Amino acid sequence: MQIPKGALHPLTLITEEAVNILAKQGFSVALGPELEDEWHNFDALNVPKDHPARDMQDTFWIKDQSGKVLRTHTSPVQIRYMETHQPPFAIVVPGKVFRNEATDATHEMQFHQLEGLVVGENITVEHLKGTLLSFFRELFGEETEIRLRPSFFPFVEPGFEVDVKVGEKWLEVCGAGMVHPNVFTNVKYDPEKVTGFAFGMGLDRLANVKFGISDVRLAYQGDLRFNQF
Amino acid sequence: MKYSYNWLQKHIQEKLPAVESLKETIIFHAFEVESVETVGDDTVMDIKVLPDRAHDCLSHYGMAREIAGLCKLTLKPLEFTPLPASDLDIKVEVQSDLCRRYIAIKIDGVTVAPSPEWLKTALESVGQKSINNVVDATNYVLLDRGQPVHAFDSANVDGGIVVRLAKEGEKIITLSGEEKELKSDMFVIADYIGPLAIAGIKGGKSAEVTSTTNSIIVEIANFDPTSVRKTARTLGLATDASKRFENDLSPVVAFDAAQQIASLIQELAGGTVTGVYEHFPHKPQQQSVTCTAQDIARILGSQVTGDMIEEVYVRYKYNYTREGDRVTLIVPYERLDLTGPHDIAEEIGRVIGYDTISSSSLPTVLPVVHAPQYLAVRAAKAWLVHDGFTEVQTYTFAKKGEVYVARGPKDKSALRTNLSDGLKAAYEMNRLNAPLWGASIVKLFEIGSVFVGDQEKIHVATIDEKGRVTETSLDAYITEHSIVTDPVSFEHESTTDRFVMWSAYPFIVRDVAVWVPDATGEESLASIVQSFAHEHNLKQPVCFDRFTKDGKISVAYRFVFQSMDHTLTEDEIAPLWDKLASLITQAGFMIR
Repeated sequence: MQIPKGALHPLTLITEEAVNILAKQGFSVALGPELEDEWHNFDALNVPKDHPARDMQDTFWIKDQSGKVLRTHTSPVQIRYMETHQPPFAIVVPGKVFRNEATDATHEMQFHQLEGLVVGENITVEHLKGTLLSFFRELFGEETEIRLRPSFFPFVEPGFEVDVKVGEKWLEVCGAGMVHPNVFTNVKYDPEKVTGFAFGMGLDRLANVKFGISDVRLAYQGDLRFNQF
Repeated sequence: MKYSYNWLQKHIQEKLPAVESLKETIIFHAFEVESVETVGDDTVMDIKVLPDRAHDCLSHYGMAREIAGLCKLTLKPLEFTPLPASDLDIKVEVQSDLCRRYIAIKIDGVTVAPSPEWLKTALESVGQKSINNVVDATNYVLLDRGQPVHAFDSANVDGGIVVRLAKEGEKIITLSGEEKELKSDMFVIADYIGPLAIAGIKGGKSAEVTSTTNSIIVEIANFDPTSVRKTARTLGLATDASKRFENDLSPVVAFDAAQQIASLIQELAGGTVTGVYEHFPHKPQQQSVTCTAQDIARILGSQVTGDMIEEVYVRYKYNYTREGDRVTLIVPYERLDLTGPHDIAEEIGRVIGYDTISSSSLPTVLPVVHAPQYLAVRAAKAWLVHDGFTEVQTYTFAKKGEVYVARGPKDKSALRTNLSDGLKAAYEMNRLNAPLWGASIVKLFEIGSVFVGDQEKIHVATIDEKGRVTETSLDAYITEHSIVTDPVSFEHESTTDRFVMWSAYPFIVRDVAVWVPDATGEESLASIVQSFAHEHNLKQPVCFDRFTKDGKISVAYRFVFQSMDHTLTEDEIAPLWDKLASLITQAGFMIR
């Protein structure tokens, strides 16, 4: 085994590859803070206080700072971007997120997500399918297929789980959906005038599929044996 | 929630599709199926019903209704004996609108006994314990109709029933024997002495139905979701009842459930209904949602028609009216999730199947303008890699810091204030592992967020082969090294390499130094050690020392022994090492 003579972290490699693929479709990178507030992380995304939907993610609340959290997903950046821009646009958001979960080979307290958001006039599920199919084909190979299953996230309606066929197996890789009208209203867009789709996937999961990295915890140990590419 | 196939079948007229086929239909048109298990002559499916359908599908009847729509089958109508009109002889008072409906039924002359086999089997198949015929009947109705039902022993209901807020500090011993201290914003079902139950969540021991109970009061009620959820969380309770109320249950459901529980208890335990009380001040208004094919098409895509919308409503036997392309759905009371065209879009889309929607590329490719911070980070990383540094990523959580998370990981609840600490630890660990790759040069960097005061900042930290650490803000780093941030991406060749896991077990290092006469001898020795390593599946050895003396060349090789599945012992290595030694001496070389 050769020590890398200067190498990027595999998660950086996969992030850059994903960003470059989406940039070809007109996606620009947008970023946001890891330390978020309740409005951006929950309320604006149609996850009201005291609603069971909040139980879908285990949250790290900040001590002595009311209403502050470590972001549980990269979706708050959708809100931040929409609060400061007008459609049409296509953004991709890579970022570190945090969940208060027990750790094991497939769960860590910190991991990385990649979020996408496209808003404009006449954006439909057809565009969501086309964008994701094209993306996964470039990432995993021309023979890759995708399929959508019904699911639920508070900030989209309809909501989907997206499975990707790599080789012979179908793997759950991505959540997606059409932006919920309440989210548009919260950022002062007119839901009668615009539609949009959003998707979110775990970058650690993508690294698992693409490189075969089986244990998500390995990425954060600082062990150089991890930098194999 | 666990659903019994046989139980679901009871609600459907025709024969249900076989389990595998039913599972496929559910997965692609409604919910995720987490597992399928054979239980006796039944099959139990664990179906993941998320908050958007928890108010109508967390019950066998509700799921059967959904399946009937998906599979174009007939849902059997609910038919129970209507309740008599006699007044309850116990006074009931509901003190808040947060109790949206309260039905109390008194049944006298019941005989509490073990449940019949069919009921035990049904409950146990979905993981519920059988207690006695009365309690089992209440659990059955909850799992069948989705309506929580509770039975009190009338003999222990003193004076009357009051649905009220608890007094601060008031206590109750629950059915499982736990004592809970209540707050003044929590709802209780009480008698004139004290709390009998935590409303919508859990019953108390004092009015528990036991084998000596002969008169019961059955409660079929509906409570405000926010109040139930807050109370349940504060008390650390999560029950089948609280789960349904906190997801919002339509108060309309209580009616069928009340008739069902009365019939069922009389059938199982005998007795007669001697009184009924109902409090239902605000009947929900029937809602309707109107949408056109265009409303749906602007979300799903171009192939939606008025006929498609109508066809979906017909399958579920929903009431609707149609005027050309405008279809108005009379929303069934239990479908609290159908509030607008976007919700109807999901109904239509999932029923016709998302596989029927085609794929299109985006209408335009917009110009790309990446966030400046992204460009700066990318440029800094490229610069560092070019200079021989390797990127690591470490944990944001640290032992000490200025910002802490509540209920965080045990000894690491602070957010890091620097990258250097994590980087130094990584450096040390890698230095110790250096023999594994035969080099000792370890140069690392990390770029990431640190949290100082109320600021989140991006820092760049490096540590070189001598262990010297630098750390500055990203902006300062870019400026200091005059790094050009290039908007154009630099392509990495997409790799098809697969990750190879390393061993978690300790390694053993063995060195061998050999005198060779000349360059030819050196090559020959190299060939011997490399073939040896290859033949025995060892890591290739590294030549770490070489010098000339008295016309001879000394060459030293370092071998690293490591197993993927256990800690190697000296005994395991010794024979291999001896073999290597004899190969070398047989070739005519002298080991130092």
